[in-house]
Amino acid sequence: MMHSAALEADNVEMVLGRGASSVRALKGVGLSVAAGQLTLLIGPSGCGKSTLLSILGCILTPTGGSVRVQGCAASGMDSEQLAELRRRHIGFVFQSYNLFPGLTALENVRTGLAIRGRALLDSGKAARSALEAVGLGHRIGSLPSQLSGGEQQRVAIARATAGNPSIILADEPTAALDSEAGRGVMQQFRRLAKDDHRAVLVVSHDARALPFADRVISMEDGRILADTAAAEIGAGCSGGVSPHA
Amino acid sequence: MNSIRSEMPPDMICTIAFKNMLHDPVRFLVTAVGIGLSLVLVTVQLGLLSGFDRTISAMLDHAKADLWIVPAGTDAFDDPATLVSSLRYRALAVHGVSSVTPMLVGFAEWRKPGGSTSVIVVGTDPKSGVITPWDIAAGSVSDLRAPDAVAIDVSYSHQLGAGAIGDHARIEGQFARVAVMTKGIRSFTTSPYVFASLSLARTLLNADASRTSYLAIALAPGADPVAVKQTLAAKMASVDVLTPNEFRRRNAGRWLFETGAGIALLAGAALAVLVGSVIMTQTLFASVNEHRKEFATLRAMGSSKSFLRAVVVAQACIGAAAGCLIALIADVVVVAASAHSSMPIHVTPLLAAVLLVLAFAMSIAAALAAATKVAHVDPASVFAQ
Repeated sequence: MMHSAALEADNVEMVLGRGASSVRALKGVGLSVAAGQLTLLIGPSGCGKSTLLSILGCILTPTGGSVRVQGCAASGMDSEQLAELRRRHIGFVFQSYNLFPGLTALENVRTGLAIRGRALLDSGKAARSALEAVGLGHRIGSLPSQLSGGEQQRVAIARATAGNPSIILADEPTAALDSEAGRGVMQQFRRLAKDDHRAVLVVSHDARALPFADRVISMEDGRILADTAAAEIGAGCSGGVSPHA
Repeated sequence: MNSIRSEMPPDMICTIAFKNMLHDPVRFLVTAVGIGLSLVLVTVQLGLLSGFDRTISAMLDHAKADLWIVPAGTDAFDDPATLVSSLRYRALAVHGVSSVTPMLVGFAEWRKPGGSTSVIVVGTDPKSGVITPWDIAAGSVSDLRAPDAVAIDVSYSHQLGAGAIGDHARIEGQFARVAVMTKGIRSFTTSPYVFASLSLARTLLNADASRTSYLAIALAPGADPVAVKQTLAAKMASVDVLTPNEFRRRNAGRWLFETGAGIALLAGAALAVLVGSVIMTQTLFASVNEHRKEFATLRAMGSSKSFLRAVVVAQACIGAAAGCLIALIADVVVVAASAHSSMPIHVTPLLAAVLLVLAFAMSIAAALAAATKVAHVDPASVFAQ
């Protein structure tokens, strides 16, 4: 099956800070993230993963190189244009969920829909569908504090996917979860890639995420060390866990 | 690239704002009470100012005069110099003047068993109707035609030692009899008003017939007040010819602003507004800080800055509405409690509207400061470091 690139980075450079204290966080990074694939970005802390994710998500502007989102060059856009690009194409999932604590699961998802301009009347129905898709149709009225970590992350996934963005970027989505909840979350990401044909990029240093990936990109010191198809990594990485379980 | 509208539906803005505020109910309650109390304080200060203004101007507001001739420089109704009474006839000769009624006003000593107190005698012909007692509780205006009859207010019964029709008193050594009792005619000074006929007032104030305090002018139907005023002013020296509004402004200005009473009340009100604004600002800043990560998440998801600002402004409006509700309840109690006191708090519909606008203005002013902060939330901060 052909995988078209939804997200492309070419020779991306990022220098953080100024003068003597500046740090070259990314050093000529180039990659593409394809629709229908779950791409895993791994590497040690401080290697530039989150910086790269911020740049690919059009939140940070690189000091060099270029980023294209669904063929649209992000270079030269102002902050509101970049926000427009994000709400059109990109859904985010974060390590600490970042749900509004006072809003129910349904309201949190509706917030994501509303940002994407979904009309008021159908946002409730669409939010409900998004929650049902992550297996939380029965918890729509629950507050984040009434949900487990895994359930909260699934609400965050529903919020990210509501409105149907073609790209999902996730930053350490399983870091705060136990193994079972983490597996459940990774299964959701795999479903988004395979069933919904979205481009899914997950930043993680959690080895449990490897079995779910189609492709693994390793980073170190601001550079990509390896870009490997999961099939090449072999069953040894899976630890015997089936991504389809 | 076709644009996707990022404007959040108003119900979502309100939901997020409301739940952000209610997420910490104690803080929300403290904010609402703080705003409410500052509004109550503003109400008390401005209500007192309004009440003072009404009390100070009560005589002029109840007078039936189209123009006033007053001694030059007069700025307080209660404390005038005197005019030559014969000016009355010169005024009557002016085209457009229908009638001229003399009025005598002055301080006198009211003797009561065991002491005395100062009173302000207001004397005019009861038949003229220029100033007659209103809100009469006992007796009638015509009773003031009797040679020794005076009218007093029941709220000063204790101070005057006279609380019923037929009670007697001595004013400046002259005998007087209470013939009319009113309810609610208060004086801004500590001296109660005593209504009397012009002739009795002359006796009580030891003023001969050649002098009077004011001349109240009634215009003929169709007469131009501006033209008559100019003619009167041109014909008479050492007097001021004033419209009722001009006299009212002078009188209120004298008591409220030259004595400093009004300035003190306005300063208190301004301080209350400041306190309310600070409370609201502090609450909104705390809320923005507390929800910084969620706001950054919304921004990362592509929300516009204007939406984030709208949430903060909505939070401010919710705080203001809750504060107004608390203030409304407290104000009803405070106004009712003060109604029969010597310092009634008078809340007019205009004042109520001003308070409402003030509550929302100070909340939104606070929100604008917090909105600047929320608009600068860095969406990159949501990623793991």
